[in-house]
Amino acid sequence: MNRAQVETAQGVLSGDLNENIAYFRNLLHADVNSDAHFRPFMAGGTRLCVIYIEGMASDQKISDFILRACAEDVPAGAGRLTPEALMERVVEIAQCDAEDRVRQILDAVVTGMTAVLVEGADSALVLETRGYPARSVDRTTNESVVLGAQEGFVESLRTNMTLLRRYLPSPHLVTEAMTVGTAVPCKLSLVYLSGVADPELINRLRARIKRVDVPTVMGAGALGQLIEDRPSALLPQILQTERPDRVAACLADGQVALLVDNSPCALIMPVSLFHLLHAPDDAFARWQYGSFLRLIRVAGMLLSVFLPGLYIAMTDYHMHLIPMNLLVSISEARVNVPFPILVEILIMEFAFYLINEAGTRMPRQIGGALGIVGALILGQAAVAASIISPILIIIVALTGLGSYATPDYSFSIALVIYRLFVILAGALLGLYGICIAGFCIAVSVCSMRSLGTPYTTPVAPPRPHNPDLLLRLPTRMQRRTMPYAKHPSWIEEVDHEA
Amino acid sequence: MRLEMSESAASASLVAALTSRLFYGLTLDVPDAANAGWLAALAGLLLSLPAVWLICRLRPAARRALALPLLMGLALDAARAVECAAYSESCLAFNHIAPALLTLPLLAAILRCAWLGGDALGGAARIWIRLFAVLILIVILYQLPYYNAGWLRPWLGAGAGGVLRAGVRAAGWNALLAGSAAGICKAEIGFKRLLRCLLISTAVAAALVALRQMMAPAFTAEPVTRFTRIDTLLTNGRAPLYLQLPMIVAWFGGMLHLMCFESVAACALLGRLLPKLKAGACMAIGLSAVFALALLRAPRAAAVERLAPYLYHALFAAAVMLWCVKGGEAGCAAS
Repeated sequence: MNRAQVETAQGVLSGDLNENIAYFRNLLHADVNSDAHFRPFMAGGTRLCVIYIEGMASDQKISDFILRACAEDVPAGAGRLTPEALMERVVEIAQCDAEDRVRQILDAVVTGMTAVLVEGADSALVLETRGYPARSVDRTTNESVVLGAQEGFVESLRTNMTLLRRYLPSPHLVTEAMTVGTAVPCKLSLVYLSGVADPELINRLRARIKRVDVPTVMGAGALGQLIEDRPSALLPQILQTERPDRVAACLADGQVALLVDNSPCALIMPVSLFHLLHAPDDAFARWQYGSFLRLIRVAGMLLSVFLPGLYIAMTDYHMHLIPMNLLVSISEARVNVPFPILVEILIMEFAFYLINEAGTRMPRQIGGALGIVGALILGQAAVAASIISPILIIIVALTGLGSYATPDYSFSIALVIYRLFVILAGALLGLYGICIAGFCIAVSVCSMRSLGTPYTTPVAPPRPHNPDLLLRLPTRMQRRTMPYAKHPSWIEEVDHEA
Repeated sequence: MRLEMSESAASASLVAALTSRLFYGLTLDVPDAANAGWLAALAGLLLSLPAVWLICRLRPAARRALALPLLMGLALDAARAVECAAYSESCLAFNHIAPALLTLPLLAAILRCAWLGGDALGGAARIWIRLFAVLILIVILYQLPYYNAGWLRPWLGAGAGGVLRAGVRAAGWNALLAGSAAGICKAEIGFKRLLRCLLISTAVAAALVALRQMMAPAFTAEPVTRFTRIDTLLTNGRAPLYLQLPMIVAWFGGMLHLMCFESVAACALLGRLLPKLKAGACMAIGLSAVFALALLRAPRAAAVERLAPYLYHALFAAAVMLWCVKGGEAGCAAS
């Protein structure tokens, strides 16, 4: 539907059934649209017409609860029917409403609901008959955990909201329905715990969503980019997760979530840098295990950013920092390599990410071949051909492992870009350059904000917080909400309010 | 103004910068105290307190006037730090790097950080303080077997005069940086808060200087070149070479915070002095001045070297004079 046609759909229904049908046929391009169905029928002497989209609406529901109900429950000569009378006495579908605005009826029909136009009535009955195929709740694909819940969000907004309600069966859980997109509206839910989330943050997010003025929003990722604080920043300012348990935990901490229709993930705001370091199962494991694994992960992330840069800086500028035996071994391994270390590293980094990207896009059946190609090319052939030195394979492998240990996908890509920056700094200026690069990264991270709150909260600026940043101390000590929540401890406050 | 800092950010930045300034100053710039450098740091704290107290009690108009001497002191000191950081890298690296190439990335980094704002710098300082503690802990742990408390004796090093001279220099850095922190805060910063920052910085710097001096006996009989001093400082005396990495990272990290704080403070004070000047212009003028001074090696000029010991005297005199001319007490932050 183009913009001009959408604008013609701003009016209300007339009382003439034929005129209304013609109007909707035009709006839905029924002449050429094979899945837009208009089914006229009679009930008790009144002419009606059912409008639905095949595949989006359930044929069975329409037959059983609308057509059959009208045929059986409306006696012949019952007089003129109205949508309200149909709703009260005939139709056996729980969720239905009378609507007179064409735009609203049209939006409902294209999302799988059914409209019943009634002769002589200037409103239509809109019924919940959605029956399109949807993926059932399944294990998460990108946020796998060893301990804890395994189910993840799916593409259906309604299913996702149900999942969330299961984790937080509380009357304080609020799901505000909204839409974005001026031409094709995309449904979303603003979710928060009333009395826990700061109303100012909620209003800020509402205002940002209202300011979005693009024709279409294709999923949560696109929406996130439209509402984040600083689009030019490298690090993600919104946490995307496909785990309902993680969203529930964040809501309980005072954060706000957005569930978008057709997106199997939720957007959580505000977030801090520390959220991106945490894995979903940290809280399930005992605190000693959680802390230990988190330290390993952080060390992995630091390795992934700084190791190649340090290698280049130390081998090019600060040889005295390398133990003599290792230095000799590195030099011997590099004797036949014709490239400078910087070129060697960039070749390997490129090859590594090429394999990574190819592995993501490649059909699963031939994925095994990729492993062989990668191992052969990178592992043996490149060394045998003296394109790279063996020690560099160890460096790149460690870097890659560190990168994969990063729990957040967007964050791990940002770290790769930072790594390239550090490699160039190390190649140009040695350790001095790496320190300058690290300093710039730190200041840049500290200048960022997520939904208006500082990105490095609660460390900078300092705020009272749970002992759950780098180390996670025992669960009984985790009594606070995040600093941006309405109250320091929501459980007590909600109890008082109740 | 973007360059100004919140009280918390200014405190963190002050601690990071001052600790670095005292450590680097007392080990490189002022070797007079010999093995009593840690005493000089403590003496510097005591000597600086009247000046810092006075600066905190000045009326806003008087404090604005004080921005001029602070600005000049900061520009020269930042240039000295820039030059020292570049010089340390040229000492450490086996590949020759042109001095301009060592200085220009710093300019770019500081410009970028200044553009991101004073609060971002304060946040980074707060994170740096934690990382610095870890790095220094590693340094201390691997050097533990080599520390010799006997090398701290004689307690007064080359004599009380040397300790006093070094103490006055340390007091100058304390007054300069604490006064600047008070000058660039968005809200009034209280004397108690500044005192806490001074105490922390001095304690850490004095401990680091003492530990450094427990690594090797002080040379007093013959003059030691600056290169030797930097070299022994960064190679940690007897530490195995590959274990020098944490010390080098701590050194450069501290220097970067010092340079950035001094440069940003200089730009912010310029903004206070000339309120009609926009933040961008303040940054351009302030940073150009700092880097021009560094590239021209102005801090090493004989005249500047001769005047450097009088930084504290100059700041104290300026504060007293402004107190007398423009008055103090009223409108000051509660201390």
